[in-house]
Amino acid sequence: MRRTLFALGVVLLAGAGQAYAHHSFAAEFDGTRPVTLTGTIVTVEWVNPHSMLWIDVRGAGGRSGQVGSERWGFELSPPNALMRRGLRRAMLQPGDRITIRAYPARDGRRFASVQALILATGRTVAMGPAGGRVSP
Amino acid sequence: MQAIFRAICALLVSSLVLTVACSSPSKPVAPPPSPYWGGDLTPVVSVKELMRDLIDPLSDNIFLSVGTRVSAAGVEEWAPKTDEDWNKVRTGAVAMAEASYLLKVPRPFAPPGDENNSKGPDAPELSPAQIKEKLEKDPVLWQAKVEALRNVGRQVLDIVERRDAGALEDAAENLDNACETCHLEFWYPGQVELMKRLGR
Repeated sequence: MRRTLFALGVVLLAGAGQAYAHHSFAAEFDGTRPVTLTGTIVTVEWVNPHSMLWIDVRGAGGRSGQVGSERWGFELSPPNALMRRGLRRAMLQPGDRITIRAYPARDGRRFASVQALILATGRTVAMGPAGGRVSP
Repeated sequence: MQAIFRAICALLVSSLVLTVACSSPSKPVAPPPSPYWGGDLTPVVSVKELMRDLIDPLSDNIFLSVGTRVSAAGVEEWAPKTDEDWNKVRTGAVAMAEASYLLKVPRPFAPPGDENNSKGPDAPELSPAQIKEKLEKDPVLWQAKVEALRNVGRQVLDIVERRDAGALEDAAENLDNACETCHLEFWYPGQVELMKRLGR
């Protein structure tokens, strides 16, 4: 029950729920309009079929987690796929600064499919196909 | 003597033929029994609705059964522990193993009037008619995808039997692959090229 409530909460934070766990990338995300966002990690979920990441992006004059910041949600590859790309749980910790290149949701939510993570250490972790991943 | 013997033989053969002819049933041969208990299978909903309302929600019983959440509140890891937890995973496994076969029952691919996201020059999804055409061109491929989904269900049933929570992560990935590889064939095959264009 606790998980369900939490999941409901983070879905609401992301803006809206998804009808399907599975979906085509192009139906949900705009591959022609990549965005780059820098912010502070709030929550990471290592879960199938999509790992999830939430960050606070500091808005004009605002501070992370306060008025003026925007919370964005991101869809990543499944946990095993992230591990194969060298990403470890210790690399994504709450409070860490991170820059994310991603493709935004078509419906205007603050939600996107990750193309690459640029960690605070400067290391770049390119995603395989994430939300719209291609079969191995 | 020989003539008498021939006459007796002829009489016996005639009697035999007459007996068989008179005892043969005149009614038509009954058709073989249906291999299914319920006879013909008649669908109620489309493939899209079957996915949305049955297979997709119950796949979450497997997908979400294990995971880790890292936040300011700390690290929370979850996996099935109680009988109730495992029964939920089992429900998902049974659904994948058995409901997958409902995909072998011919049915519309989408409700009437639903054309998927199939409009426009770079339409991300195939229309129901395009999916039907693909299936009819290669039904064995469709059947193979169904069996792949069913196999994951069987794998998870085995995991439930063994209460092997450590194996669920890989099984969930297998489930994801079973779903995605079928979708890439029959639902949004254009995605392969799109991902290449995006360098992913």
